[in-house]
Amino acid sequence: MADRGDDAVPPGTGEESGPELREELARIEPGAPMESVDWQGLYGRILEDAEPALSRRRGGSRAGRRGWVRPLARWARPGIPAAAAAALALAVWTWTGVPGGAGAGPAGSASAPSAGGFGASPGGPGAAPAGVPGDDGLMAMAAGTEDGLVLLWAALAEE
Amino acid sequence: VERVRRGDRDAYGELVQRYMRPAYSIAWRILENRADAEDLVQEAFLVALERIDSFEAGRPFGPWFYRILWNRGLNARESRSVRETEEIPDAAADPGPGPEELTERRRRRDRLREAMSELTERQRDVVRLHELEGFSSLEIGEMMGLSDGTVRWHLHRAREALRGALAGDGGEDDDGSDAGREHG
Repeated sequence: MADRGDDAVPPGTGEESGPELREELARIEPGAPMESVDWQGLYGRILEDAEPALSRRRGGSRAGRRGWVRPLARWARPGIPAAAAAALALAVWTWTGVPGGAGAGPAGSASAPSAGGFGASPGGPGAAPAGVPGDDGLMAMAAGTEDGLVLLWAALAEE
Repeated sequence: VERVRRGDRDAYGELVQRYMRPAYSIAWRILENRADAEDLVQEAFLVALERIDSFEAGRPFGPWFYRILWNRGLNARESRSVRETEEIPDAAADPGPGPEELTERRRRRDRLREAMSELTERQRDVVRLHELEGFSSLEIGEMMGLSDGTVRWHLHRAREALRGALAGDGGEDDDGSDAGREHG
């Protein structure tokens, strides 16, 4: 006989059961002897069995963390000073290169970086006319900035 | 389950505590032997842990776990290493009724036993899980990998045969005679 679906089942017969049939079945097929099981022992054995797998999973999550921590740590040693240098250079460039800031205020008197490089460059920010620098001034600023970065990198590398 | 995936022993312990007893009941129905049933439960929990990554989050753990248990149990039942089924003392030994009634009861039970043995293995499993363990046809379907309709059909056929046996129909000359044929 072929397999059948719901329509082969007379309605209402699916979930009903006579108490008599159930009782008789229970008598000839008694349930599991639950009281004779050492539940604590079974529980302990199941957990003991599982320990290597659980430990692998715990280790796996740590290894997963190490997976990205290790390369990061490898790059951190040279990366952090480099990032600091870049940040410093950017700060200096911003400080001295902002239009209008070159001649006035602290930017104008920022002699330390200027002495280190910016000032040495002809037509650098210090040489630019006060206020908005022209095209030449911008070019010079860019050139000066590059010089400054190179010098900064050289100094850091030496250190 | 999420915590178990991360290797949390306590979370795994909670799952074991919650499902150990019903799992044992099912394992007992499959193998009918205490030691084998315990081994099966132990094995099923381990397999479940190994496969926990394939468990679909948000779904109930029970049916997924029982299916593992069921499949492992069937394998164990088919294998030769399974210990002999244990002889369970007949729960019918209740004193009270007179000898005639007792004899009639015994006859009915013998007929029922015979009818059970004539069912297909699948029908027997369905009847046991539904009538004796209280699982719905849907739950049984999930466990056994069958559609709800197929489970209900097996249940219907099995009941027909068993009721016939209880009523003393014999089961050879009526509709119950082909109840033992395998389906699905």
